[in-house]
Amino acid sequence: MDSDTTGLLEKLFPFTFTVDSDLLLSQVSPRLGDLCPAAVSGLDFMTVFRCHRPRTVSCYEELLAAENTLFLLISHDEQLALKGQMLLSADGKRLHFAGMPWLEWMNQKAPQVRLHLGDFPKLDSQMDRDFHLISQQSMVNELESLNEKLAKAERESRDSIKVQSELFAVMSHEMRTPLNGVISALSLLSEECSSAEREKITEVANESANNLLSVINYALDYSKIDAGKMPLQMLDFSLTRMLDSVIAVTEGRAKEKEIELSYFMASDVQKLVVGDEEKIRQVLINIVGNAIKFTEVGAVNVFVEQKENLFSFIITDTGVGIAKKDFPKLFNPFWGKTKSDSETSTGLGLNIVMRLVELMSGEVRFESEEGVGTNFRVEIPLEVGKLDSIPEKESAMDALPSTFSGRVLLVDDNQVNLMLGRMILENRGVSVRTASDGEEAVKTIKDVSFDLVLMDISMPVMDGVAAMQEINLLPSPPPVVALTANVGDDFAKRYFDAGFKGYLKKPLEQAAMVSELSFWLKPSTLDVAGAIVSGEMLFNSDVVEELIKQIGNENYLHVRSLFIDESQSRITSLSNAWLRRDLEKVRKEAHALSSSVASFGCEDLSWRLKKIEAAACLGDATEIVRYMTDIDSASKDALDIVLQYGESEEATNR
Amino acid sequence: MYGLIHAALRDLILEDHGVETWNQVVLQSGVPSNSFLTMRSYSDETTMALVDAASQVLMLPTNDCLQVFGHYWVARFAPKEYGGLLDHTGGSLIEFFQNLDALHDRLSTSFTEFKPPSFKVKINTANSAVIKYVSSRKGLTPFVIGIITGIGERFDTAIHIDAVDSSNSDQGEVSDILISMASNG
Repeated sequence: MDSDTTGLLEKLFPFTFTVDSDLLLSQVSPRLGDLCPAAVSGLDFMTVFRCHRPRTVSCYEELLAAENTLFLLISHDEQLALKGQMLLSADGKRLHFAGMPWLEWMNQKAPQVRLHLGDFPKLDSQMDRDFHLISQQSMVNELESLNEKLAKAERESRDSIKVQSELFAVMSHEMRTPLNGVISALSLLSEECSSAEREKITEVANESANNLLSVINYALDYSKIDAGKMPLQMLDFSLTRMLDSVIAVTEGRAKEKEIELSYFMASDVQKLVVGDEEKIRQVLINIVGNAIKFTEVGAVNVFVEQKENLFSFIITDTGVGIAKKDFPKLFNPFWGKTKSDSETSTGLGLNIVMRLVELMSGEVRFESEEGVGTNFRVEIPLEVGKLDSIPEKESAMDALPSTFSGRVLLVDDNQVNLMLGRMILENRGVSVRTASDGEEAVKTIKDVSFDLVLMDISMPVMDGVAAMQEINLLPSPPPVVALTANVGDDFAKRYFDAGFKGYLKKPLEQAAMVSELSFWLKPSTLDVAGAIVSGEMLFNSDVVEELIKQIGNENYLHVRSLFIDESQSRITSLSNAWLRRDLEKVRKEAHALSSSVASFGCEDLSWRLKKIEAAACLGDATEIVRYMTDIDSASKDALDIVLQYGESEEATNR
Repeated sequence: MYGLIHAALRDLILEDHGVETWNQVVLQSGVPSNSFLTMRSYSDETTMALVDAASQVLMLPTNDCLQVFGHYWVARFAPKEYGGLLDHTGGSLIEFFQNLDALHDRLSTSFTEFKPPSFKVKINTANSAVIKYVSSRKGLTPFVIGIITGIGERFDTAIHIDAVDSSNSDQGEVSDILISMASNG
């Protein structure tokens, strides 16, 4: 092979050498010299390489005989393996080797030797195959990773479906149970029931309805938290006011059980904070309510501490405590609900507590000892408030007033809601007017002044928002508070942004409503002394004037005389019936009297008698006592006014 | 481009900025979630939509974003799966760029949709060279600059980009990138 041919061979194959009949090496290519320093011209081929293929070579003739076969050569230092072919020179005296790295062997036996792309002939497919294998391996890795993700997603989906199904099954059961309670209780109500039976049935229906509401609220909260649709509503609020509200909601049950209930706030706690007041309130009501439920003797206390921005609410009780074996299950939904308390508990509270606290980036922990009591510790990060516009109220221990003086316009398109709302408000001493839509409300406010408007949102003709905006354009508009069944968290902010001054959820919660009324209305002065205030006029002379106009003065005087006599007689009869606890008689006398005294303008007395009638109908002895206590003096005052008014009229006529 | 590039961008953002940022990028780009199979070819528009979205979400100029990505690609992503290939490509920065076309030649036999750029190296002095980058795509010179600095780190060499001379035409982009090198050792 001439030098030109050798040059061409080297361009095609980076690893070349020549071996003569004495097996001596010559013309070693530079790259071969780099990677195999033993391959030096003049050295014996057999001392540098061993033949992996063909295996039987030991002399030049055997090399020659294998000219057209594949050669796999391995250097004795095991650092280089070559694959190639022996080619006989033109003069037939030498063999030329032309080859390339044996890549498989190099990758396995000498991976530390760095081969370059230039070490391989351009047309050699070893490198391509290597790239291909790497790509294949990469794809396999990717597929395995995707498979793993898919399997994980499938597991999670299956687990989630299982949890949802179980929860749905339990929830359905939990809804049916109280609903059955309501239906059964209502079916038992009949005219034949005694007062005591009615009272018990009503109590059962009420408790069952409240439990049903709890389960529905839980389902809504659960799905909202799960779907990430319960955003935090970070607003300035007063801790004191929030705690007052927690105590107000829970103290009734505590009083019934004669358990002490109070809260204590460390002196260095910032009272104005920024956070989601509604959620914190819900958390505390749940834990405090639970504490009262499981405490028979002693006290339930709430302590509030602050360390930088971390606020701790520690709720302690002297109740039955929790068994250690139940610790891990405490926050599971429906845990703790036993047959014995199936009518008073849903077992959902602590699960929602945990979810809400986690939503607020907080933590809830507890420690408990059976027979000693339980301590819950809720830690929530809160910003310290900057606004100074939230009026601080007195502490919870100074109870909110129970009755108020003032005129309230209640607006709702639902007649049942209007009736119930009126009853609730009137029970609080408030004088109530109603309107069935926004337009009627605006019209009424233009004619009559009010201290507060409670406005439903979704109404025909004109909705609550539009009506509120029209009212706010009037000179000296009354505050308008939204009253709505929309319970989404962002609704409150929307209402405030729209111009409402407050927000009350339907169905009305007594504590929230009292809190709202106490904010806008004055407490009744008579309430302080413990008396009842109707908010109605003691005597409305317009009614009498209208009566005189219709029947004439002479007839009026005659009827008035009969009215006074009959009223006095019926008041006596009413008092006697009450002394005998003859509720049916009480109801009948109160009904007859309330109607007749109203005809003579005695609005306050008529209102009291209607209350007595309603309470007698429900068998509510407490309410009857409440209104009967001063019925004698109230009726005397009213009848005296009627008499005096008539006499002055007579004098005028004369 | 191949999904490999998309997967690299995904891993970069996941590793350095977290899953929420990556979700924002995907949302912002409008790119379907099945655009990340490494050996599947996707349109260049898809790739650029991801880069643009990353740029907006990370609030980085697109060129800076591409440069960071180029560096990540060669310094952190490729070595994980393709370390062997990088080893074969060269033992020094210059050798690497000299062999890069050969590497792309090899890859083109496996990836038939592969449209690689071309690199030529002109050595000025022992510490200075011009890397000529020729691509049928436009606007990716910052990505190449990120690759050059990443390759420099691979060979423990500090790279300084002294000048970049780019021109665009209907055929794509040509850039002469003048670099100076200093061994960190």
